[in-house]
This record gives sequence, C-alpha cells and structure tokens, in this order.
Amino acid sequence: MSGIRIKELSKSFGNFQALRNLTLDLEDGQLLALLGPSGCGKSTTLQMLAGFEMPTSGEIWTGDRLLSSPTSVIPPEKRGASLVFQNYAVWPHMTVADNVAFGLKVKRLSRNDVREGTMAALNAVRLGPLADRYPSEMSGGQQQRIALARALAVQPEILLLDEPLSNLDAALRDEMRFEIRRVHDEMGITTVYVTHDQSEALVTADRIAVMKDGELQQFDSPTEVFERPKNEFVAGFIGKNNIVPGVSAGKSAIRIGDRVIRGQDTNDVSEGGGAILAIRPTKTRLHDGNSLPAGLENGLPATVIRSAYLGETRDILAELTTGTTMRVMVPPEQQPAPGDQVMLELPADQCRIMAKG
Amino acid sequence: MSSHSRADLFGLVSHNLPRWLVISVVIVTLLLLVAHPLGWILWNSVHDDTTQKLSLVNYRRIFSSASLWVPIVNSLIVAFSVAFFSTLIGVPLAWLVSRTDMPGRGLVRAMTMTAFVTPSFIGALGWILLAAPRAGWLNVGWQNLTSSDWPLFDIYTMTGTIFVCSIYTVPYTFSLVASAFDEMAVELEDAATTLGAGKWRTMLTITIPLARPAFLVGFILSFIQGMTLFGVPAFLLTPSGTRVVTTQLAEFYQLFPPEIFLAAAYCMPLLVVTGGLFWVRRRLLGRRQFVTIGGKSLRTRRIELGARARWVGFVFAMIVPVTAVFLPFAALILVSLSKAWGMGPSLDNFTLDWYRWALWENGETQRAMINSLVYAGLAATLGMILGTVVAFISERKLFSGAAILGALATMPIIIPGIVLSVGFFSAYTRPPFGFYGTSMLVIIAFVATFLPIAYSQATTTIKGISADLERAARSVGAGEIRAFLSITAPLMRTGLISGWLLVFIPIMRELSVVIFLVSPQTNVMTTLIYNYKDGGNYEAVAATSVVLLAGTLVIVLLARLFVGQGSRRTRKIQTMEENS
Repeated sequence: MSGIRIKELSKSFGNFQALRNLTLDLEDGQLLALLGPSGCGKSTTLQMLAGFEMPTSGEIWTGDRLLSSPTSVIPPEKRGASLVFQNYAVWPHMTVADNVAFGLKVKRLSRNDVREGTMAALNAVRLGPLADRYPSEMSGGQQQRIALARALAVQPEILLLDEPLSNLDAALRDEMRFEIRRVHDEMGITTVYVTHDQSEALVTADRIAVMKDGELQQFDSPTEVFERPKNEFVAGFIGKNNIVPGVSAGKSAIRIGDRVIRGQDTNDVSEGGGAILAIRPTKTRLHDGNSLPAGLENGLPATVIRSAYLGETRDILAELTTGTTMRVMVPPEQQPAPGDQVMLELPADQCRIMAKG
Repeated sequence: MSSHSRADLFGLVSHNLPRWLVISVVIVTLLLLVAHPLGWILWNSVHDDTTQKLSLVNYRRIFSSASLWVPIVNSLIVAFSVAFFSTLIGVPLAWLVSRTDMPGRGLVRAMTMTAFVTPSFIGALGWILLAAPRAGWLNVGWQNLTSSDWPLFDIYTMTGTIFVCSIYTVPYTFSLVASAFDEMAVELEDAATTLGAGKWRTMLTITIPLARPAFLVGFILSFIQGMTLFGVPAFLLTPSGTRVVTTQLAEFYQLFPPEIFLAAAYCMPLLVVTGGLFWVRRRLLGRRQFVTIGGKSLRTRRIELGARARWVGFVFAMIVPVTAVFLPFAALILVSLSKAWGMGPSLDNFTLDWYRWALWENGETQRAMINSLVYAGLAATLGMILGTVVAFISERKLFSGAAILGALATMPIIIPGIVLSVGFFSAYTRPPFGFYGTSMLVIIAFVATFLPIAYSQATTTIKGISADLERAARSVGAGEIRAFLSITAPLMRTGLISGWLLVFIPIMRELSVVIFLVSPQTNVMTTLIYNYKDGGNYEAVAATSVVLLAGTLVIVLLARLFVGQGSRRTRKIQTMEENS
C-alpha cells in the first residue's frame, strides 16, 4: 500500500528555513491538498516528495519504503511519483501521444502496451481524438490535460500536482478541478495537490494541510478546516471570516467592548488573555434598532458604514463600538443605510473563539 | 553539505553514478584543455631554460633588454590606435545604419559583416598588392599619373598596420553598438518625445547615452584585437624589422634552439592586459553578456537626415566596405588571375593557371583545404559537445561549485591565440603526450580556443529551456542522462547548430593559435597561406586566399539560409514556453 508518511520534515536553504518539522500521514488513495500563501513551504514539500530536493532533516516514507532522508534520496525516476507542473512542461517537440507514451517507453514496455497505455491515459483526460496533434496547437487547459495524462500513464503510486490550475483562466479552472477530482476517484491514486486557492482545495481534497511560514497550521478534512479553523490564520485564510479581537471571558466566551459573546472554543484561552472571535459574514445577522428582538442573544451594537447591493444579497460593512469593522451578508429586502444604528446578532454555534494570532 | 559525513557523500555519489562519471570526465577535459597549457606557460616563465631551476631569469632578460621592450610599446601603440579608430568609425557607422534613413544600409551591413569573416591577414595581403611601396597598384597608378618618384602609400609601416587592423576591427565595434541601437526599446524614446523633446534631442539625451556601455565595450574589444593580432603585423611590420609582441613571440620560436622559456615569460604582458580588460568589460556589463536595453517592441524610429546629409553619411559608411572588402578583394582576385602581379591587370596578363595549380596540381593546397574543413568540423563538433555539457552542468547547478566549470570554459577568451599556441606547444609536444605534428594537437587547440563561444551559445540555448521539462521526464521514470538526451538535447538542436557554425567559421580563418603547432602534414589553409607568403609568390598566394575566402563566404551564406529557417522554429517553441 502506498500511503505517505512525512516525519518531522525540515528544509533550509542557507539561513532561510523553508519548512519546519512537518509531520503528516496520508492514507492510501487519499487526495491531500497542501494549501497556503506563497512562501509557506508547500512547494518545497512537494519538491522533496518528488525527489528533486533533499531534506535537511526528517523522513518521507511510502508504505515501508524510505524515500527521502538527509542521507539518502531515492532519485525522482525511481520513486513511482509522477509530477504535474504549474507551467505544464509538455514537450513541444513531441506529439500529444509521444508526450504521454514517453514514460511507458522508458519502462521498455512492448509497442502494444505502450499504445494501449497511452490511449487509456489520453481517454481518461478526454484527449484521445487529439493524440497526433502537437502541444503548441492546443489551449492551456488541453496542455495541462496532456501533462496529467503523461503523469497518469505510468500508473504511479503517487501523483504530485504543483499548482496545476493557476495558469488557466477562471472558467477553465472551475472545470478542471472537478476533472482532477473525477480522475482521482476513477483511479484512486494517492495524490498530493499544492495550491494557494482554498476553493480548489475544498473541492478536490480529502484532507487539507494549511501551511504558513514553513509550519503546518491545521491538518483536517475540508469541512473541519472550513467550519472549525484552529487558529486566526486558518480562519482568515479559508473563506471570508470576520475576525473580531477581544479578551477571553472564561470558557467559550469572549468580551468585546462591554459585551460578552458566547461561542465555541477551538483552543483553550486562559481567562483575561487576548482572544479573537471568528464568524463568517453569511452567518452573521443584522437587526434594526438598539436591541435584539426578544429571545435572541449574542448581540453587538454597530453603525452601518457602507451598503452594497449584490443582487442576491446585500453586503453590509458595519463598525462596532470598539472600532472593529464587520461584514454582514443580509437578504436584499433588508435595506440599512449608512449611519443607521443596528444590532449584529452572532449565533453562538457559528462563533469560533480562539487565542489571538 | 558540510553536515554530511564522508560515508553520506559516498552514498549520494553512488546514487547518481552516471552524473558523477560525466562530471569527472568534463572536469578532467577542461583541466587538460585550459589549465594544463596555461600551467606550462606559468611554469616555463619562472624556470631557467638550461638548469630547469626556479628562477626569474626570463623576466630579468625581458626587463633589461631594450630590444624586448620596444615590441611591447609598439603593441600598445597599435592596440590603442586600433581601438581609437575603430570606435571613431564603428560608432557613427552603427548609428547611421541602425537609426537613420541613409541609403544603402543593407549593403553596408552586409559588407561590414563580410569584413568580419575575412581573415585580417588576407586583408593585409590584399593591401600589400595595393599599397606596397614599389609594386602596389595604387602607388604605380599614382606615379603614372603624377610622374612622381615617391610612392603615395607605404603599407609596410606602423601607420599601414594600424590602418589594416582598424578596418578589420570596425566590424566588432559596429556589431556591438548596432545591436544596442537595434534592441533598444522604442518606448524609451517615445517617452522623451511625448514630453516634447525633438528627434535630435531624444537621440542625444536618450538613445546615445543608453548605448554608451556598448561604445566602451567595443573600445575594449578593439584594443584586445589590436594587441593580439598576429598575421597583420607579421606581414606588414616584419619586412621593415619592426616587431610587436606577437611577432616577437613567433621569432622566439624560429630561433635555434627555440627560446620557449623566454617566450612563456613574454606572454605575460599580453595575458595581463587582455585579462585586465576583460575584467573591466565584465564590470561594465555586470553579468550581462550583451548590451541590451530591453523593451517590448523592436521597431525603431529612423532619423531623417535630409537629402545632402544622407549622401554624406553614405560616403562615410562606405569607408569600411571599400577599404576592407572591395579594394583588397579586387586586388586579390585580379592578381590571382594574372601571370604576374607587376604587369598590372590586362587581358594579356590573364591566366587561370594559379587556380589550376591551387585546386588540382598542388598536393599541399589540396591537403590544407581538406585539413581546414575536417579540423574545423571536428573541433566545432567536439567544442559544442563539451560546451553544451559544461553549460548544462553549470546552468542546472548539478553540484555546488558547478559555476567553476563555466569559468574554466570561458577562460580561453582572455588568452590571445598566440599565447595559447605557446601553451599548447609546451604542454603537448613533450612526453607523455608527444602530439607534435599530429592532427590531434591542432584539433584540441582549436577546441580550447573556441570553447568560450561554444559554451556561451549553449548557455543561451539552455536558458531558454525550462528545467521543468527535464524534471517532467524524470518524474515519469527517465534517468538524468535519458532525460537530457530525449528532451533537452532535441530542444537545443537549432541553438546548437547555429552555435556550431559560430565556432566553425572562426576556426576556418584562425591563424595564430596553430601557427606553432602545424607540420607540413597538418597545415591548414591559413598557415599554408602564411608560409607561402614568405616564398614571395604573390599570384599563388592570392589564388589560395581567394579559394579560402570564397569557401568561407559560401559556408556563411549557406549557414544564414539554414539557421534563418531554424531560428523561426526555435522562436515558435520559445513563445510557447512563455505562454505556458
């Protein structure tokens, strides 16, 4: 079986530490997204998984095979790990079919097997009819599918994708991420997908590792990462979130200005310590006037600063008495005007309270 | 790396055995080709010829003997004058061709490039036929016209030498400065124009200052050219007994026994000057090899000179075509078709005998032609292979310190041909090599001399090929060498072919680097012409020279057609890479 185990992996380039003590376990057949802003260490991790970089410390294993350690690195061609590049890296001097067949020819398969393997991979990415074209005659999306077919044709144990969609335009990107998930579901290859785009990660991955400054922030399923971010960075990075600073007011409570808001703790903050509250604009509600309707709790008074009509919703920017601004998505029927005094209702089950970043 | 123990390093090496084998072979080859000859020059220069002991006697002899000082001073005079005149002519010429509406721009460009591929010592031959004090045709014509006894020109002088060296060095300055003008972004000028600057003002305040580094680099390259040329001073100064450093070096070898140790010490001033100037050039350009000022479009706005100035410009621009191509070529062709040079061009004097002699009857010229083609072909091929592998290793940083290989491969650029010749003679004519008189010696000397061109061409080509293309091959199971051969090498093809030609052509016209290395069996066209000239049979020399010139020009033309087509294909691939 070929799950991936990464143990305390670190990488330095001179004085710069690109990756610090990364430990991850990925089960066979799962799709892992390494997600984070540029410079977070995700690409370095992928280069080490592919065997192009050597770890400074730590180990990478597949099953019971040690792939990388500071003293020995199995060369890229012997790892059974195919890499798909951001810039496609399709070979311009070969036809589509020759690109895909290359890895099979290197394996010295019979002509028949090469032909069959090539066509199977091309059909998997729906490029079969274009086998005899040259890549230069094809669009970016098609070139990226050639690269995907080329990587799949050799039936790798591990598929590595390095920001494979970031050179494509938005519409194509939407389509291709479903395509990648579909191909993954069909073939069940253990896959590591590097991206800085949270929606790509949410759509494609079984597990997401959020990274920042070379350190792992959270390693969870997409739902967990989205709904229960472990810290301020993850809360801010995945989806839109209002981050409201305050002071911890005991278990599952935060004091913001003169109000105490109840919510859900994601990590323990000692009472009186700096804390933040995270809530999504879509989960926040807005009520006219100076007090919440009877029976509701967790209200914060605010002043509307800006109101933007987006068609299906209205995007409201409001300022709390503490000076923090919050965004609220309200139904378009609600029409608060700038300057209006309103109450923001923060439903307790939607509030995440965590230590200040 | 420092944290790894020795055993770990061994583990790394054994994982990449093919890579380390190739790297080791390359290192040994580079050391043999470059460091070994240079090492012998250094060793010889500080040892006593008779006692073989460490000594500064060679340097002492040079410093204490005025007759050895004078050639150094002469060389500096020639070099400075050549740099001065070729900048004075080359810079305005480049501006006229690249930035004005002067008529005949294409012709001037083509003729300047023809002067570029003409071996300058053959140009000197042409000018002997034209301006030798007694028999030179220009002098004879002048004396007939004016019935004066005095010749108008005497080419056998310092002035004559500086003149011939300069007209054949102008193309260097010209092409450097012209490409700076050509590649300058028109936006930079348009920005000035939109702020209200007139065309001339823009030219003076934007265009020319931006191209200034190219002027300086052109000056430096011309200086080096004037300092290191061997053929021209050998033909034009030796008859009057005037010597420069390069001809003095040749003289050391013609003594019996040859003064090899003294010659080695005598190389040092040349090496110091060329090395220093290349260092200055590098400082000027930073790490850029070429003077380019980037921009999006390559359109240029031409200055309209006005009816009279256009033709004044044209006359000025024709100086180089007339003096470096038309006149000497005409003289060489006419003399080669004459029974005797002294009888002047006339129908009675016409004969094809010299060509029959050169092409069919004379075994020496036939052998030299074949040698030239075979040696140049082999040396260009070997040089490109070596240059490509070195470029790959250092561009892809296959090991820490890989850049040193690149530096070694570039080093011959600072070594004047005649100095390399001295070094190769010392390094390879003694045991264990004993290559004297072999084709091998000539070929490896050519490889070493032109390795910098091969290396820089290959580097440029590799820079255009993303390393991801190789990594993609490796990630689907190809080893490092397979990835290089199946992916990188085919993608480099057109770049390598044009690089091959850029090495082949200068080898065909190279004289000084093999002057001490050839034997009667391994003579090439250039050394044969050089030797024949001593015999004084100018008609035969002219015919042989015309054969060499015609052959070189045909090859250049074919190459242009061929590479012209190839480069279009390369561009297509490169634009694809940029888009992706």
